Amino acid sequence: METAKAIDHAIMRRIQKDEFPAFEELVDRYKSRLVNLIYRMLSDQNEAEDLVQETFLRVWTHRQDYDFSYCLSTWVYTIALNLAKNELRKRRRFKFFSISEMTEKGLELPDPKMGPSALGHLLEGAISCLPTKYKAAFLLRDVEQLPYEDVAQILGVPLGTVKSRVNRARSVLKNELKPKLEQTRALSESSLVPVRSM
Amino acid sequence: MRCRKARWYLSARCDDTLSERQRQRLNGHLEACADCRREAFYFSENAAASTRVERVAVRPDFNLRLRAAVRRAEAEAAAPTGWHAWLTGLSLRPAFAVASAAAIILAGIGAYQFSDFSRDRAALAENTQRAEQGRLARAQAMGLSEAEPILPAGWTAVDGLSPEMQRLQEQYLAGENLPRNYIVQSEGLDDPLSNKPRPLYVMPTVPSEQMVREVSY
Repeated sequence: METAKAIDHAIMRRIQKDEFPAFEELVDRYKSRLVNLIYRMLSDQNEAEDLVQETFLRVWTHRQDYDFSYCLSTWVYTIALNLAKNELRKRRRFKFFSISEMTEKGLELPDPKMGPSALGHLLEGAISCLPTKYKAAFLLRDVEQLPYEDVAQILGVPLGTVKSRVNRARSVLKNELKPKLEQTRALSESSLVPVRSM
Repeated sequence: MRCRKARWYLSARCDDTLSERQRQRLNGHLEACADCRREAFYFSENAAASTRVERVAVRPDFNLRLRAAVRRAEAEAAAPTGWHAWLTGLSLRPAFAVASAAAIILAGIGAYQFSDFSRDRAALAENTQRAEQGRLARAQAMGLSEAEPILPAGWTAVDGLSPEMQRLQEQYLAGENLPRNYIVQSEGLDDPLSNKPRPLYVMPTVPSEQMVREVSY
């Protein structure tokens, strides 16, 4: 069976021969993953799509510079994350507030009948509050399910640092969600107390 | 096993990277410690939730917009930009070509006119003329003929130059170096042979008895 890496390299070889359909194939393989990753980093879908578009544009422009000794996914993720980091740096310099951001995202009380998707929604809110370096490591490892080695290459940090960042992010998220989960559990347990018949 | 280590192992357990021995030790600890058991529950809840994080759908026109962006970028890369584009556009117009050629010629003439070379030549001619006029005027005022050597203002020749001084003057004009303690008194006229200022007097830097005898103040 052909691995993802081999498929990527085959596509990239066609792209280097200026085959635009191959480039579109690559876009279709990665656009959803990248948009979701950048969206979690920036909390703005329009901006995420613009940055992913810029990422693909750079891939196309620098297609001849691609080094086949690396994973294509690593290269693409690195470009996208660097663009997102630049955007976050710019935002820090010029701080904008949008009405939607001013509502306390993800920190509202959970629905007592909270299902798995509601927990995901809570987690999403908590992720957006993480510091950038922990957020990037956590998203790549736990949400995108990339191996630690690839995450280390994308972030340009040692493997041990990635493990430590992911662990730290998990602890922060766990502490953030713990009270909400406990509350949910308490509510659901109280709703299960049998009513004594008269 | 301590709780601190157990919590680090909990994170590793999410990645399924624990060895069999580590797993057994962790399980042993979890059986004994209620706090860590609770932590383990939250860790597993979080791990499960992170795989269920809602994914946003990419807008359907994404590829279309990307294709347009690529086309735009390629067109921009092919076309000259900035000053280069501006100059390329201008240089294609005949009027601009003629005007720029004229400007280059004028600039060349101007550069020659105002160059140091041109200025130096004019200044040299003017100085020579002024010095000659001054020499003649002083000779006239002192009642001397034009051919006689003239002393600087306030100096009077007594017996003319000594043979030693004459020798030094000739030596100087021949282009040889003078002894260090002698200076040349000149009016700035160039000697055509040596291309040096023509000396009126060669004299020692420290006045000596001989000099006092030759020239009286």
